Amino acid sequence: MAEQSLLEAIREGLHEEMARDPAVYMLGEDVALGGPFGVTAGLAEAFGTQRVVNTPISEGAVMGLAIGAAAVGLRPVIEIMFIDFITLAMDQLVNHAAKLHYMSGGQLKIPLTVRVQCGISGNMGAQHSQSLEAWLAHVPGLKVVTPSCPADAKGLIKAAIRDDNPVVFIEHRGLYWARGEAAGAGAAVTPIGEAAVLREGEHITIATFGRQVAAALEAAAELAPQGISAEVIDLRSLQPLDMDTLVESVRKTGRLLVVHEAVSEGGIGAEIAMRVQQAAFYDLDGPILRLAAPFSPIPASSALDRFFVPGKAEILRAVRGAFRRQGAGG
Amino acid sequence: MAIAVIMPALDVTQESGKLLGWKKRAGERVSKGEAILEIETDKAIVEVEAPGDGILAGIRAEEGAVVPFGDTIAWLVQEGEAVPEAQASVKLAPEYREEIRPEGAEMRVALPASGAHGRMRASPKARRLAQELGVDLDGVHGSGPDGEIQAADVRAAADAVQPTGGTVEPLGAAARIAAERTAQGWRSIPHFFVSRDLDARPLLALRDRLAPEIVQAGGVKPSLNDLLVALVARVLRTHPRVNARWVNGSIHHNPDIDVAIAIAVGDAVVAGIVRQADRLDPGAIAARRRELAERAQAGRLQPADISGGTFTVSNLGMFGVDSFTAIIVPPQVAILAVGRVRDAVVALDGRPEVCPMMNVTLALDHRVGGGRTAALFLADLAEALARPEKSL
Repeated sequence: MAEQSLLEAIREGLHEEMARDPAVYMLGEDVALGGPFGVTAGLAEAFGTQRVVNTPISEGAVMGLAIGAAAVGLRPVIEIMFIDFITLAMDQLVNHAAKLHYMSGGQLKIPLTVRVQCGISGNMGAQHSQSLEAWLAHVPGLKVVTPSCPADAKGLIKAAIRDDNPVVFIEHRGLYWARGEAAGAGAAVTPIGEAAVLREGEHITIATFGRQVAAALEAAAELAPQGISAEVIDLRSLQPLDMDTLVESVRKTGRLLVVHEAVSEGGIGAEIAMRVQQAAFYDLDGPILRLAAPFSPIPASSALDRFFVPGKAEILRAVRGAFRRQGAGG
Repeated sequence: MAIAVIMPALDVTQESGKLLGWKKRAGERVSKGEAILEIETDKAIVEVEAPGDGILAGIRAEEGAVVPFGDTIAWLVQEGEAVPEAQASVKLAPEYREEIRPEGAEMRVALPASGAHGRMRASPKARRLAQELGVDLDGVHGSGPDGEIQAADVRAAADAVQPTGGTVEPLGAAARIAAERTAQGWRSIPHFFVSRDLDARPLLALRDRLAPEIVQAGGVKPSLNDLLVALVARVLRTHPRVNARWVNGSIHHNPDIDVAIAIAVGDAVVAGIVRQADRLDPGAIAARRRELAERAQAGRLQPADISGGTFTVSNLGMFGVDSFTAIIVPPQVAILAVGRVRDAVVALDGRPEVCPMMNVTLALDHRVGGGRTAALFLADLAEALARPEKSL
């Protein structure tokens, strides 16, 4: 199977959906030029600027326009660029996109896909590096997905476009050029709300998403020869969460480590910990652990990155801490 | 109207019991009070009586099933009456709950244990496994961070119990619970012991006088211990602290005096309860004692037979024991260990005399009283024994 980057996979998914359904169109700042990182490159050439539409720099207006279009039957895919800027469109997204189906008694559907990119990458500082997925997962009426590999990126963007609800599709900027197995032309969609067990293990479950999935897999590989068998779950969907898969895994392993790049307070990890302990308290063989960024704005200094991005070393430390024997060092 | 047969709560710390077997079949007519099924909790095996008259129908729990307390497991219907539709589990009436509340109600509360951190730490999974495997967490070495006991430690402890040459004697549920409670009592209660030798002549004389009357009236011949129980119960009226419960740092005086009598059943011991023993005459106590002993031997004790004692009397006189100390059963605060009546040379009126003597040793929870509390109780007991007719 051929390899491709996550960025190329998203582009391929967008391309296939636009070709499949004429109601799908693209809206956003510079999307016709390919966007800031080239995800939409070539789409304007393929489908014309009537379906790949550049907009002024006004996130609220773009969101509002797309919601209206979705309400009357189109399937807009908008690009907000940095998730930090979604604050400018929050009223439209939270008070309108997420609510209209409910408030119209089901008469309106808002099949809207909102593409944003997140994360600490390229030392872009406090206003261009955040991971705000928990804000969005907190809103009834929104779905939130985030891929960690090219195949899921393509599968999930297609699922988001085909979903009749507003879906926020979060792309980790640090993964754009990460290569992986390509799903291939016409591949199946990845269902929203299903986590993936990427590695099976017996002793601890590591639940994560986005960029930390690779770190968790590397850590698990390093732990195996030391006798610690870690199960790695890529959540993929943050709203809704696949609690069945999580709980089943924790029932087996008795331990859970949640890893995310968002700040610790009020993050997705807290929600997962709450729900897992409720469902599997008497199967827990140790406290639920969380690795997350410190509760702080994100610095621009590259020297500080390692304090803000949980990586393999931090995961190894956390897991070993859970298994550290009394009296043993380290 | 159909009457629900409800899984009774025998122990407030448990949520379910195991249905050992039905003693009646569906369609059989039963009358109120008749034993219709047997259940096992980790306290005991008990019979459940029919809550009314009727025909057993709509059995919902098979033998061996573990059933949550309060669930309807069958119905008693009248001739031609249909079994009611399935409905949500019925809550026990509060008074019923109260009646069957056992004395070891807080038995499963996390126990403090010695160790560097003062408290034993065990993961929820370890605690659940310990319960399932019958492992006492107190003896388990915790290998986790800060000495926390983890599931693997419990499994290792359970495996370690496997034979290494000798044979293993598995314990039944009742024996395991007895062991657990004893261990808890010994760990958590600061025991101290106060002994006294008592002149047994008045007690022997009383028995010789009462026994023929009672037997003639068709009653059960009272033993020395029955008489002692009657006297102890009366003395407890003026010693409320000895008849108390220790609950969460305070002393709760029990409204009634329900004396538990330790009854040996094989290698196990069962504490049968004589309710309001201070109001029963020796004949009634003897009858109750025999009833308890028979049911204990037959493994047919009812919940009310074994729950809720406020003071325990343990007598090893029949085994030739002169004196011994006993372990308090929480949440009780005292237990009286009674030795045999034996002839001893004692100084009476300045002269050595041979006199039948009996040793009693009170174990008291030091949190509810000190040496004076114990000594005054024993002094009053000695006084009651010296002139039993005054209090009986």
